[in-house]
Amino acid sequence: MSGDFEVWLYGSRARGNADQASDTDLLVVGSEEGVVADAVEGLDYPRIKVSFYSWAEIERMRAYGSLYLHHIAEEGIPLRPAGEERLGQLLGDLPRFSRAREDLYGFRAAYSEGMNSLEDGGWPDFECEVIATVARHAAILGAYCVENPAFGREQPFWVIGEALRYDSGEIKALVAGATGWRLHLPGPHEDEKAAFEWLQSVGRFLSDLEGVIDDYARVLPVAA
Amino acid sequence: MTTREYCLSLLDEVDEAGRNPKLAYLVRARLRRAVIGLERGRRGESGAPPLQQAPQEIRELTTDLTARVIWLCQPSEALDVRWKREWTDVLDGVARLRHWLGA
Repeated sequence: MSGDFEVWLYGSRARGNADQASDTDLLVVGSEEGVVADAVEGLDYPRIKVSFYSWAEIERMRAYGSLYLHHIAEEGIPLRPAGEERLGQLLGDLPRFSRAREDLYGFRAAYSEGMNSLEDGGWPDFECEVIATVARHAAILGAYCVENPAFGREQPFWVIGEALRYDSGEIKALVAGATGWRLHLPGPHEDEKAAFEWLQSVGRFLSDLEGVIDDYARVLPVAA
Repeated sequence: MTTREYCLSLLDEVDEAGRNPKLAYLVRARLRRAVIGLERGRRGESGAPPLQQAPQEIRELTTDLTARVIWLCQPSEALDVRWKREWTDVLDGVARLRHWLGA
């Protein structure tokens, strides 16, 4: 087995709140993608999902404070080797994420396209799933930008929802739709009126998030 | 618009997003939307056969492309390292779908 790689566990299994719907998220970092088979050989987890990056890519991601690397830094557990080595050092003093405005632009564009597709006879299950994923990604970004990173299914919505002074009913509704549609769970979110209201609430959420992102980006250090 | 024209327009949107870093986050949804279009046709309009009738190669290609862009288009990462490495392969697959549709 080559030693030029590291394997990190992250996501719900690293947080200890995995359930039957959970994948096993693994990050493999190495010199080239060919190391992945060796890296995960013999690991006994259900539904392993591997993201591979080269060391050079990790260095470039580190330069802009990749939110993905912040995610690993926040909850990642090194599996191979078992102690934090090269990646652990790189994660130690990550710069702040510098692409929050660009991400929000993408989220809003994806939301608009989904809504337009629905109006144009698109497939409701699919478009609601797309918008649910956008909502989750936006909540993760928002939670990070209010200095309280969270990467689970529900916690990011609670963090950013409370920061935006939403009441608990609004947050619960956002979470229920986002989780239900994204994971294709049956539930009251599938009711046509509830779905319409949820879609509208995601649009308001993305608009409200703009102020949070502006406040965050305003105080970022200017890149050298 | 026939199903074929509709599916080609969806693939055009995939191309557009892939060429514009500001739109990169949209590729995942746009490609999956195109694949669903190929699978289901559009509200019963005639045109290209639905994907169930497509050659095995095309079915495998759409499955592979969908998995690839879900992995590729994570927020924040889509504009950078994964993007540069993987987009060429995705574009090649989109071109094969376009060819199958007879463009």
